[in-house]
Amino acid sequence: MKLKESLLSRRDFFTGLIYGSLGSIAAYLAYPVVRFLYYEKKQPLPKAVTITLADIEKVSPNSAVYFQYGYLPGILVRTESGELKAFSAKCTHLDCNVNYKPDTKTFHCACHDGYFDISGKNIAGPPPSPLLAFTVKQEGDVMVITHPEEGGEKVKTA
Amino acid sequence: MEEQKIQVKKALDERFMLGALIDLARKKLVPVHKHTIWYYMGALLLILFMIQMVTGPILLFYYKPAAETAYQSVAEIMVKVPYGWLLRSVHHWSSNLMILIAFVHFFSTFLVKAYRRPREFTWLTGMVMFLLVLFLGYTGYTLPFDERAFFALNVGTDMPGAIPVVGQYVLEFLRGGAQVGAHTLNRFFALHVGVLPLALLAVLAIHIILVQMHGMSIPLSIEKKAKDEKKKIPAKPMFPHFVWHDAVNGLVLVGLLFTLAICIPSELGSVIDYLKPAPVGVKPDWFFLWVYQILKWIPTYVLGIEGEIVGITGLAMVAAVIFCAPFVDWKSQRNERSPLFTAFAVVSLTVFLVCTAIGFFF
Amino acid sequence: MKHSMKRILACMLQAACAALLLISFCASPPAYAEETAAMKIIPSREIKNEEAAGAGIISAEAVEKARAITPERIYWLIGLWLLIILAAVLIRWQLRDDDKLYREGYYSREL
Repeated sequence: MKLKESLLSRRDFFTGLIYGSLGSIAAYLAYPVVRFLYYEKKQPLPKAVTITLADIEKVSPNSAVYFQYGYLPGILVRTESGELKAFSAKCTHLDCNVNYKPDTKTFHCACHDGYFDISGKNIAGPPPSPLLAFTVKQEGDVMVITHPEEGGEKVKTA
Repeated sequence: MEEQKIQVKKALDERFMLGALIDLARKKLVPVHKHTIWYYMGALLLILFMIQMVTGPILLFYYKPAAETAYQSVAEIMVKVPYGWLLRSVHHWSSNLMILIAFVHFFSTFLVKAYRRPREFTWLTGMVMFLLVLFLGYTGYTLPFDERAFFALNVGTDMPGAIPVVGQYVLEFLRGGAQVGAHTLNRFFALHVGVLPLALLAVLAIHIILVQMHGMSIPLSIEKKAKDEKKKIPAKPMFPHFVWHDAVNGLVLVGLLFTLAICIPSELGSVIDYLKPAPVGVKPDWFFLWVYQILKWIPTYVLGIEGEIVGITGLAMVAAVIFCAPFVDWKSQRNERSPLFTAFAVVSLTVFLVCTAIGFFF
Repeated sequence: MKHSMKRILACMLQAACAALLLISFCASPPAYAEETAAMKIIPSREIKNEEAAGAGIISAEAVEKARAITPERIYWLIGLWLLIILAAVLIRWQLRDDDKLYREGYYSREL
């Protein structure tokens, strides 16, 4: 079916072409700008972290201390039976630092009342997954704590 | 298609009074004569300013404005951040082009005496913006806090110290103390990123409104010729003709800008060593070479007064005459030829070009 | 009920509500977070990753290398100029048409 009149005048078509070419220039120039803004500066995590045995001795049973793992905060807890466990202190809900409560033997996140048990499993409140567990091994006269992805094998929580 | 266009126009008009604005815009005519080319400078400056207002805050995402971190953050922008070298170079070259075109715009309006009645305040706001743009350029290249920036900071903040009476206070205000240090960088950062751009925006708004109000100034010679030949000066509408002209000029300018940015990317000097002597051949950036050269030529003592004070006071007096040109050049206020001021303009242009060339090559 | 009685009752009710509000403010848990007993922090030493070893001060050579002109950059620039030339040619064609319209009086008719 041939139309009697064109839907678009020649002039309008031309103006459209002009705006299209200007838009393409804008997009061409916008690409470096967008790449510039989305710069993932990969902050590397250390392969492992060592703590002297002398400092480890100071951690009494049923208590916890913090340590730094690269940019991650870590929490090292000595259970009542004397076993050492290390976790990332970041709550899996919205990244607040957790605290260890010796009376209930749980990790508590004060931001939204989240609870994790001694093995790091999320037991109450909004946290959706367990605390990231580090491996703790004694090598010579230091305790070596390793991130599951950086160095050690992935540790399954109970 | 036509009905949709009319619908859209009606909708916008109802909400934003677009119809009234378009009527106003359609009435704007731009005179067409042999000096029309100088009319394009303003739009070019506006385009460059908009480029600066985009690339500047973008660079701010990664620049760390403290004495300890500034240099490394600029190095990171150049090396690590994707297209960081490109955006920094674009920002740098855009500032150079903006200052160059500002000089062209200044000298062209000065020579054709566009400051005549009723455009005195357009001239004044323009002169204020000229100073702001020069100061923006100066504060900008001190931000990487490399060796060159350090000497620029030292010399540039020392010169106002020569002003009689208030010099020391101005110097300490600019430096944030008696010596150039971390505080100075913070101040220059605040000036470059906050104070000066906002001031420039405010004065620019007034300047643009005044230009729209008064329309384009026509040089006296052209007006006279038209009166003598009893012919009307041809004029074309701003919309769409001159908007398209500005668009083409802007596109070529952007092309030139990116060519310069890619072929001659910005440099980063060496790290500051507070105890090193000034490197041989240290010079200010090109737009201050004329001041540098003039101050170099002035003898240490002129008639018993320190040469530096004479130099700065002399330059200040010339600047004052140029600032007040609309009020001092009463011949052109009466729309008569003013050969004295034309000569003054030609002499200052020559001095500027010669001193800049000598400062650059020797 | 007489009007004055209503008023007295209304006043008593208001006083009771105000008192309740005041008591609730005093007796409610504190608005600020309770201070938790500060846990000790023990020092740890990092064993760095091999890739992380490179990340440090960026040298002047690295900056010079980043400044060097590469073929990709020139191709990008040529692409930009092609787009600019295309847009400029289209706009100048449009300008020719607009000039013709202006000469025919199209734009002055609108004023």
